Amino acid sequence: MNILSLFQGIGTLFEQEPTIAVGRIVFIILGVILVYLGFKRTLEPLIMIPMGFGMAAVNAGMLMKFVIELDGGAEGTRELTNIMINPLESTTTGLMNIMQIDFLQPVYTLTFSNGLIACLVFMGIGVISDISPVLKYPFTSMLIAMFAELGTILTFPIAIAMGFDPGGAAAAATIGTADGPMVLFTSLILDKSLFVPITIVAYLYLSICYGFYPLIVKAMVPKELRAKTIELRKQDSSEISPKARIIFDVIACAALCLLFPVAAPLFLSFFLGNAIREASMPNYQKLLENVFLYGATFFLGLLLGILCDANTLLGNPEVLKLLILGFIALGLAAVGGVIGGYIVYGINKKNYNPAIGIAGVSCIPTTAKIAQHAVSEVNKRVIILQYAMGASVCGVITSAILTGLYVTIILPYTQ
Amino acid sequence: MTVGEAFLTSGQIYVMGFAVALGMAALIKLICYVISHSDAKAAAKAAAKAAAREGGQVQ
Repeated sequence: MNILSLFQGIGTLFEQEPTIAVGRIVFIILGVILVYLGFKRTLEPLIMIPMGFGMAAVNAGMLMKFVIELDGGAEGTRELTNIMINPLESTTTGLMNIMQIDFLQPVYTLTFSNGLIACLVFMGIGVISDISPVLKYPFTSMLIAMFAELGTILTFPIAIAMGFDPGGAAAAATIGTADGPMVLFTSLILDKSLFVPITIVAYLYLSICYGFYPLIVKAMVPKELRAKTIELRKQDSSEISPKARIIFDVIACAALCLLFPVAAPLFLSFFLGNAIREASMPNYQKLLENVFLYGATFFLGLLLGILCDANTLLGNPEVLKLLILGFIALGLAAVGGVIGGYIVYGINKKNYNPAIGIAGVSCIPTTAKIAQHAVSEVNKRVIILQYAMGASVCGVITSAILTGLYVTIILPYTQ
Repeated sequence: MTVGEAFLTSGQIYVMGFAVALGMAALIKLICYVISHSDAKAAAKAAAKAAAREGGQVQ
């Protein structure tokens, strides 16, 4: 017996193209590194630990599967694959067959590729978001959030210049929204062929935002401005009642669905989650936060790792371009956010801290924490978290608005 | 789509997005204004009722 056909994970390394084989080994090592960095809290552990495991396991566990054509006689063909997932299968019969073999295929087909998992994450985000700061400072929060969309806006023409078609370019541009579920949703609608690499690039970069965003804040906002205290104004002491918050939720949801029906599932999920928080329904709150949000995040991480199969990714020439575009999009988003912080600083006659601008990037609550941390480093007595949370929640809303606009305007180009 | 057209399209998207975002902010202000006024009215009504009841008891 050939030893390599007994241990197929190793044997297949010698049967496939050398570049793919090397790629598999690199991805296995990368998976191990991601788990370690997640464990050390250098990267976001909620996504990185399941993702690293998935990445290492899928690239190690390749095997040769015999595929027998039903109408093609007894002779079958050998196919290099894994028995976890097949993201490229789209025929109904093929999917039914694969769902009985690949253990994660039902989760992928029924929750990932139709955007349900993105909506579940959004419901969870809604339930953990306090919208009081948005209702207290609506104009400044929205202004900062719109400036933080600079990455979403400027990446689109850059992607077109790099040779993407409008659908792919718009999907890549939404990486600038810094909102994983949004990227997933847009790429599913506008360019299914790029859905896997775009989502992976977006989540990879989002988890490293925590590392490079503080550097952008430090580079753009000098110490004396970061240490600035915001003098209290009339609206700072006013209380926003739960009644006002829930009325805003339902009216904003209906108004945004009316304007952008293509993004209605996202609006519904976010505002419903938030309304459940405001209506004080602890059982539903626990369900959305502990079960839906964490369950969806776990499967999202695991599936993203498993989708990092060297066969699928290295065969796609667009991956390198997407890595560059993702970096540009998130970098511009951060720069735009801080510029927005400076503009509000000017409008409020210097009674504002420009470092709050970074929170306009909607990676909630990470960017709000980054803003507070950058400020606390130079002056421990300055608390800007409530302003930062307002900008961050508005970031989620403006991201959904821009996603709706991109999908509505670009969809005709893809058909 | 050319790069120039892409610039125009994304500019158009940004302007529309900005308008919708500012519209949302105005909507928030309106909701807060209406709710605070209706709450203040209800509180004044309740206070007047309580005062009337108290006055009745004294008489």
